[in-house]
Amino acid sequence: MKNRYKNYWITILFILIVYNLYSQSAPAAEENIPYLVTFGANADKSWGDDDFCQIFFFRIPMNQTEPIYIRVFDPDTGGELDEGKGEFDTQVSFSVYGGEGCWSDEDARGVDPTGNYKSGNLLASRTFKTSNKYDNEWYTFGPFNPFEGEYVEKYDGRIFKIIAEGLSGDDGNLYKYFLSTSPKENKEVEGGNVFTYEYTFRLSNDQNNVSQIYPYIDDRTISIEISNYDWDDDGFIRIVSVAKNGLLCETSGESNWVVREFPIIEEEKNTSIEIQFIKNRAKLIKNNNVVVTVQNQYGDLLPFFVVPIGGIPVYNPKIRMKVIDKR
Amino acid sequence: MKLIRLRINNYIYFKVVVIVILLWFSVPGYTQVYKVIEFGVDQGIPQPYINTINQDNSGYLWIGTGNGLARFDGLNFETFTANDSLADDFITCSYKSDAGVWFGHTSGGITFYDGKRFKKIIPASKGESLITDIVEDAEGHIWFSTQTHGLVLIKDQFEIEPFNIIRDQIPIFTFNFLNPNEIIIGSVNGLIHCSLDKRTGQIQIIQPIKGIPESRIQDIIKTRDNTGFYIITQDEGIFRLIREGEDFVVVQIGLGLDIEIEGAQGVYEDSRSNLWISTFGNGLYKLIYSPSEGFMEAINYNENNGLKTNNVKVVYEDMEGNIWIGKYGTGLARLIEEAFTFYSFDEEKYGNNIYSIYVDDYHKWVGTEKGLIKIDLSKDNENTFYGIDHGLPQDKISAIYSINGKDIWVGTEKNGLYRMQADRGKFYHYFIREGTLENSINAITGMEDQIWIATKKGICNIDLSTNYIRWLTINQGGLPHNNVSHLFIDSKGKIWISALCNTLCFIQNNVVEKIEISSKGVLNITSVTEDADHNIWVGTRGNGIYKIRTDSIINVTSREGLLSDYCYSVIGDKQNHIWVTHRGGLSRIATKDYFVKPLQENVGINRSTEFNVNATFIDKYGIVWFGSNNGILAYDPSLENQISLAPSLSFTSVSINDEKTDLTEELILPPGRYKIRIEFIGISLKAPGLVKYQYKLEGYDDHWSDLISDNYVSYNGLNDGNYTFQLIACNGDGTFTQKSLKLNIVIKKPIWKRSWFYIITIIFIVSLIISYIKRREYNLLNEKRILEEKVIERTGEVVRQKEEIEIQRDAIKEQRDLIKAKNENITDSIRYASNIQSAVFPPLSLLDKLLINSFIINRPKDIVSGDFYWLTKRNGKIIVTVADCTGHGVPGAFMSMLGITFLNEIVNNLGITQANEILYHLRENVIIALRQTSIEETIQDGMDIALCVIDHKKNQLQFSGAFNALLLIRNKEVQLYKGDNITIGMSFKEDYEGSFTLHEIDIQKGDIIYMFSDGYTDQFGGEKGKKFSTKRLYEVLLNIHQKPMNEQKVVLERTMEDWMKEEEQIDDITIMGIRL
Repeated sequence: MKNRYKNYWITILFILIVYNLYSQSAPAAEENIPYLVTFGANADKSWGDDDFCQIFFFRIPMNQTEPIYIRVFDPDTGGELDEGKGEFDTQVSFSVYGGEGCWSDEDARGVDPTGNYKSGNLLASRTFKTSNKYDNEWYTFGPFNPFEGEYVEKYDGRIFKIIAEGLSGDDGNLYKYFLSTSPKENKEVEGGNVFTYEYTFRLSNDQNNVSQIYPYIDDRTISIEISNYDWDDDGFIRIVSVAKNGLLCETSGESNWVVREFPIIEEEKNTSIEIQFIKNRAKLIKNNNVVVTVQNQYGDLLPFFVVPIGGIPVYNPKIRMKVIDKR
Repeated sequence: MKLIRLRINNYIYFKVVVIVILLWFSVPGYTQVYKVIEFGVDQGIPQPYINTINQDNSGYLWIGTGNGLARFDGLNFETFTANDSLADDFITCSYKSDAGVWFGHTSGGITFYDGKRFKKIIPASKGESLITDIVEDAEGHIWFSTQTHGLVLIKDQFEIEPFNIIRDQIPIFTFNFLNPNEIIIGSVNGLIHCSLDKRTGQIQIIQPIKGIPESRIQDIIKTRDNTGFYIITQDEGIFRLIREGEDFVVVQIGLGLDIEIEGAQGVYEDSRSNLWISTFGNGLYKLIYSPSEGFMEAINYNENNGLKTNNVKVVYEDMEGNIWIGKYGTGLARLIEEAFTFYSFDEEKYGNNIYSIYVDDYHKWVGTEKGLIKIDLSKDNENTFYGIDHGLPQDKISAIYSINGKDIWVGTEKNGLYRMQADRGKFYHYFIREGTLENSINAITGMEDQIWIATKKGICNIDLSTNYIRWLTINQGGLPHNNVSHLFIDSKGKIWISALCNTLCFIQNNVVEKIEISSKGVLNITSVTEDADHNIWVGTRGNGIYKIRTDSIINVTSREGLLSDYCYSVIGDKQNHIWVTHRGGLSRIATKDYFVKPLQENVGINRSTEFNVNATFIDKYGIVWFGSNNGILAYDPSLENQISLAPSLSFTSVSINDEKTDLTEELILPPGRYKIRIEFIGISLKAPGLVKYQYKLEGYDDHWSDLISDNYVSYNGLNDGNYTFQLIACNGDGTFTQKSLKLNIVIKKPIWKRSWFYIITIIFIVSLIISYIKRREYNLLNEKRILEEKVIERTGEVVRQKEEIEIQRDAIKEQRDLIKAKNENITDSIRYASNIQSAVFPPLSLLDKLLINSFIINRPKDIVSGDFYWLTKRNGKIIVTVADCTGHGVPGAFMSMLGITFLNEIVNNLGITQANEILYHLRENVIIALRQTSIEETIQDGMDIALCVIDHKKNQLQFSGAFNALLLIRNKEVQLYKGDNITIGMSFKEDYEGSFTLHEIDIQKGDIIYMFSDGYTDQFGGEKGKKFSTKRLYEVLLNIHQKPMNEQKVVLERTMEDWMKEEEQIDDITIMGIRL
């Protein structure tokens, strides 16, 4: 009997692993981050969200002609997953943007939701009130015509943007995204990418869990500044790269930002560095929400590529042919 | 304990099975499928994401997508992009005004299409924000809403005026006008009442409108009755907004309907005031409007019932009443007319090949290849399946007849007749007769207590009051054929029989009556029906449809537009139509004018659909039911779109000599001979393939053309003139355009055909003629003058010549006189010489004396003769000779004188009488006399001579001749004695030996001899101017030799005269004949 249940669970686990390996969810399974988090506008920033706003970008490859959908897991606030502060009273809006300026407007890629960060065409939006209607359920935005995205030559694709913004209340809305070709299930967009510039997420409550994110270091980068907010003394943050073997990064305390600069050597350019979030194993800190950004020496934020994890894909590979002298 | 549990389990199992079985047979086993015609990228749409649909004044449908604008004429899509002067490829919205069609773009650009070309009102580069909506105000100005930059007013001359919201630029998704100065704006958080300050260009927010949820407003449209607005939110429902004074009344619509409007994208009110709500995720809703009850019914079109998607962006109704669905990701679709509804059954459970249909007051009965389906009309179309478990065989249900829904008769293909009475719920076999064909049922009908059953072996009539069964076959009752495919009872109670025959039969008063409808072989009649005017219509396999009238029969075939001449059933409806089923479609014949409308894809019928024989039924509501291999097609005339617009006509291109030219109302061409091709389009989006055209080129064609399907006409070799091309068209319903579309074509006359050219030419020609005449006159006068001068000159010459001629004449006259005088002297001399010669010649008396029977002809050419004859008698011998001296006239005469002189000397003086000797001496004397010493030095004069010596004593004749011969005719035979070839004179012959041949001939009685010179034989004459010839002379002589000698002389003279005629005598002629 036990063996039977064992096999059953192994099968389910295998399916989940396979499913997650090929999914386009944010956070990605490889990051070991359970949820993204956005608090209501009336929340205390010390609870882990510095601006009650989270912006994610979705890149759609040029060859995608079928409709795409942006799915949000548990978009409303309430129910068992979200972080309630007293009685749930939070409204969080999700707005999908496309068109000119959606990504290219600098404000859209900033750390703070100021200026014209809602740039582009508002394609769809919905405000989720306190409800458990979508508790453990997916809500689907779309269909979207891939042509509604902003064409970005650098990425050789069209970019959509989704802004989660806490409008009112003080609860924490935990959710996930999925870029899908189906409105009813999570089917990845082949070649699609998901990235953000400021990552606000919930750390696992499991002390043994190590979460990690992978900012991409391009060839213009000579140093990076890693900023983290509201770490709450929940363990430590470690930097791992091809040249750095576990450099510790200062962690922020309650409701403050800590910035640490790391030089980038030649070997690290065009690679991803790994920022590990290692929980405090001495003391269990639950419901810890963190904000992380990485910027280069120019102050430009580096994108966290959630899909594919850690690395910007080669959109336009340039292969130089060299003539071989046969003689 | 175990036993009890088992029993309980069994009981539960039994209950479950019963419930399952009940559910199995009572759950609706069919689905209503809404048919649409799909248009995707493969058909020419640039992208399957449709954002907007509109129709311009020419009838073209405009489809805005995320990657271009498509224009649709019913058959083809033409794509326009920024390369064609669009402001942007991405079209978000559109609006048709009287002036043209307006398009908004995602980039904030605005494009206007005036019917011919596009104009960028705001280029994409200058666009501020996505254009979300377009509205026309009461003054006819066009307003655009942008998502983040307020409104844009397009004034006259395309002048742009922005209107911004004061302070807070809220996103605008839609808007509309309450009045010229007030608007309502659909925002992300509800509907907002605003005022417009047209002076400052500012929008002042007044307040959000209460009653409308604070949800994203997706669309605001004015109600068709202009009393308010329909407001649709993204997820919170649809509302009707009415302004009452300063207040707003908000009423939510569709509350009583079981609909879930989430992800709404827009709302559209059609011409019947129905509302169409497009959604992402829930397909398309149609809220059916009833003037009395409002919106009481809703239809949801989704991916499960024919739409193939749940994402619908936009709905549009065109001028013909067609509903177009702009889908998001799957292209464009046109909803097939609601009058046509398709039902399909679970193939595996019930079968979906429908062979028979019957609708009574309570049920729809459907016969399939697997059994019978009963659809209960009173229980929300709950259905029950009757198969083997209900007493029916595993057989095709070929016929159904219901008596008030309580007595059901079912015919099968192989197993005969079955009956189910009242609510027994089970069929039993009703025996009618033994036999396979008798139990193959084709049709069942009935009237009162009579049941009529068509079988493959005749008609079976059951009298329900007596249960008496009567059969009608070929030999029992006089059926035309035993295989009866259909029976139809008309309004007069006649039972019409469909069978293989050349007569249409009906049963009346138990007698089979016959109407001959074809004298040429048999017809395979499949079905009979009656129209609203009680005319009988007959369907056949292979010969189309016949309408039986009292005085005539009309045949409608594929030539008249019938889809096929093979008709599997006919049925008349109450709207004056006859419906005909075929393989692959239907034909609908209008009974008034016989216009045939083919129905195939245009009403959603797949070409693989095969309608089964007589699987048709019309119920009491007038709904016509058709059974096919793809389920049931129902036609409800009450739902048919009554709009029948004639095609919208326009010219698409004109080619001159194979080169396209700009389209104008009038085509003016320089003189020449042209090949003109005119292409046109008649847009009928309802049935584009059925559009037909008629045309006429005034000035060229005498009559309108026949109806054609081609959308072009070519004229080859059009010469100068004024032409008007007129075009009309009709749609699939036969509705023609009221006014013809015209194109004037003017081919200018060449210069030489213009009146002024004629005038100039005439003037020129007249001038030319006058000039010519004048010139000629001048020339003539000049010539006359010259001639006169010449005449004077020539006259002088002539006078001179005359004078010379007169002088010459006088000289000639003088010479002539001299010659004449000399000639007379010479002639006189010769004449005198002639006398001398005559004196020298022996006298004719001597001839008569010595030779009694003889004659002599001596006819000199001139006065004196070169020929001579001579005779004498010496020593008893008569010596006679005829000689021809060289030359004639005087020289000949001299020679003859010489010859006669020498002959006298030789014969008379010397006494030589031997013929050859005489000639010898004669020759010697001549030579001596003429001093002929050698051939070269002497003159070669001499004579040819024939000489005879007649010795009567010895009765002997001697002959010698110099060239001349002797002709002897003896016993009527000619004997010729030739003379020697030696002339009397110097001879040319070198072998001459000095003597002549002596011929000695014994005279016989009757002998007659002739001697002659060559003058007679050498004389030219006759028909051909030839010589008389020696041969002809011999013949003459032979002919006349027996005549008296004087007669012979006369004949010879006359013969010569006849021969000579006008010819001149060329030589002296001498002939002597002597009868010995």
